[in-house]
Amino acid sequence: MSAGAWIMLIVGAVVLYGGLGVTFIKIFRAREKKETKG
Amino acid sequence: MARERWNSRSVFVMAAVGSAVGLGNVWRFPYMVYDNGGGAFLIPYLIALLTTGIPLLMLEYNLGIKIQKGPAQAFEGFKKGSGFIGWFALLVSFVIVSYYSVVMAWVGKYLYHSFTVAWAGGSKDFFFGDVLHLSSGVGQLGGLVTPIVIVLLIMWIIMYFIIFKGVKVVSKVVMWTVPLPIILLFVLFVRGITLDGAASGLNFYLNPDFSVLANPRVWLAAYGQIFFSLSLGFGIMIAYASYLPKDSDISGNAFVTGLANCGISFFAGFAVFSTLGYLAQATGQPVSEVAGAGVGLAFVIFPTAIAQLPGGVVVQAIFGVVFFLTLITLAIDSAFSLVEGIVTGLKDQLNAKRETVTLVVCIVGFLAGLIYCTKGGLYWLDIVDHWANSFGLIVVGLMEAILIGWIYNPEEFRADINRYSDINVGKWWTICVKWITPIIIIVSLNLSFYSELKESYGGYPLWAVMVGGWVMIEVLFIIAVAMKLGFRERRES
Repeated sequence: MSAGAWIMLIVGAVVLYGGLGVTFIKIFRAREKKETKG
Repeated sequence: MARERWNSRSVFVMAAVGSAVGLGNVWRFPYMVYDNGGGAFLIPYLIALLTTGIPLLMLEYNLGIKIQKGPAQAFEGFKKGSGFIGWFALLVSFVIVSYYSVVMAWVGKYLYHSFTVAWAGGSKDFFFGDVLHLSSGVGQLGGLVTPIVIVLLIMWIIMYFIIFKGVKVVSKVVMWTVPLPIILLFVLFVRGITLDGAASGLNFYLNPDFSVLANPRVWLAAYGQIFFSLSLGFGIMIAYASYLPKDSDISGNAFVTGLANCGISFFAGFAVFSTLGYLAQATGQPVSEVAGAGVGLAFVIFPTAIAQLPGGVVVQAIFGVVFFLTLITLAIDSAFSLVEGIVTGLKDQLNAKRETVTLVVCIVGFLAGLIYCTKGGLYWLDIVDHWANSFGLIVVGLMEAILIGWIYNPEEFRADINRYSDINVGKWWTICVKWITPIIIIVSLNLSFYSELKESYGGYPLWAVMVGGWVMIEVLFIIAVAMKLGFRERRES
């Protein structure tokens, strides 16, 4: 595979799967905050 | 009577992901990437996800959650007189599920034939001859192909039993049908990347050509792919969200659904192109010669690759079963979500029993699908699919963006989204719904109109394109308006 293909593979994986991970962390943190307040 | 509820938030997200992830993730997205600049296509694709896909998902979720009714009633609840948008969305959904179920029937038949790798003698002749008995042209319907009709009936019976009891049963079904194709895709991926020539296939898939970023058609292709892939404009997401409690998170669910759907598409590309790389090497052709999309990829190209796999008939049969099982489990969630959207809309409007409405919708859906089970059915499927996607869904998307962005107050709508959401949505959402989405859709619609006027789609005769395309869309629109007016009169009387 060319260097360009590898770079795009990493970019796609980081944005999509990293984005999913960040979303889950945000959701859990917001939940924790709500539970602490509640 | 209290409204049905999803078993949990995670089950709702699974059902929404299951609806969004379908055959297109495997047979459309990877080829689009390859055909539109390779890895460079990911840039407009990800921008489209963030500026149209996820904002419209939030819009549809909020419509369903706030009004707690099906699509037509949700639109009507937000703005009096706009219920016809929901009916139009459901009618387009009905047209789509009537042929989508036939494609599932083909997949079902291939699943059966996988055990003997029945297409080994020539996958093209097997598909067009033995399976479809394809006639010579669109005007030659040539009678029903009985085996396809039987499998189609089985598909509709399965869909009926999944949804006739409501979202409680759907909640249990998606626990299996959503993870299973992902596991199967992983199996295909592992087998694919361990084949000779896989790296050259993946290079074709992702090698970037950044010059395409200056081409507006590539950007429109990215927005189109996001729009169709996320089940936007079908009314499904509104119907599914209507079974969530009013204090549900909207933005978090939308981000998870959108990112998971695109993540699965991206991953599917590795399974597809690694196998195509092997096929290219085995047949001594360049990858560009063997790459394809849609029906051709699933029923001709991939079966050819399966028949070429090393290890003999048993290994080929296992790979064939895994591939077609992946397709059928991907398709089933999308198909029953389309039916569920229609059932929710009708049930909420008529206050009828869910079982009765589901039965009627399934019977009519099966009967409507028979046209595609004829020997000329593939031609009609191609025409109707093109129009339902290019003009039906996209018009719904435009109408909902204009309704919320311009007629309703978008800032008030955004405040609604933020009320119970875990992730706060900024002003960017309003800009996306009010400006970016309508502009992109209007430009896209104009380009589509222009290319239709320039030459007849697929080289089909004008009368066929008129009947399966223009007239079909117009009739659906008229029926949608008539349903809206009819139901209003009924309520008033």
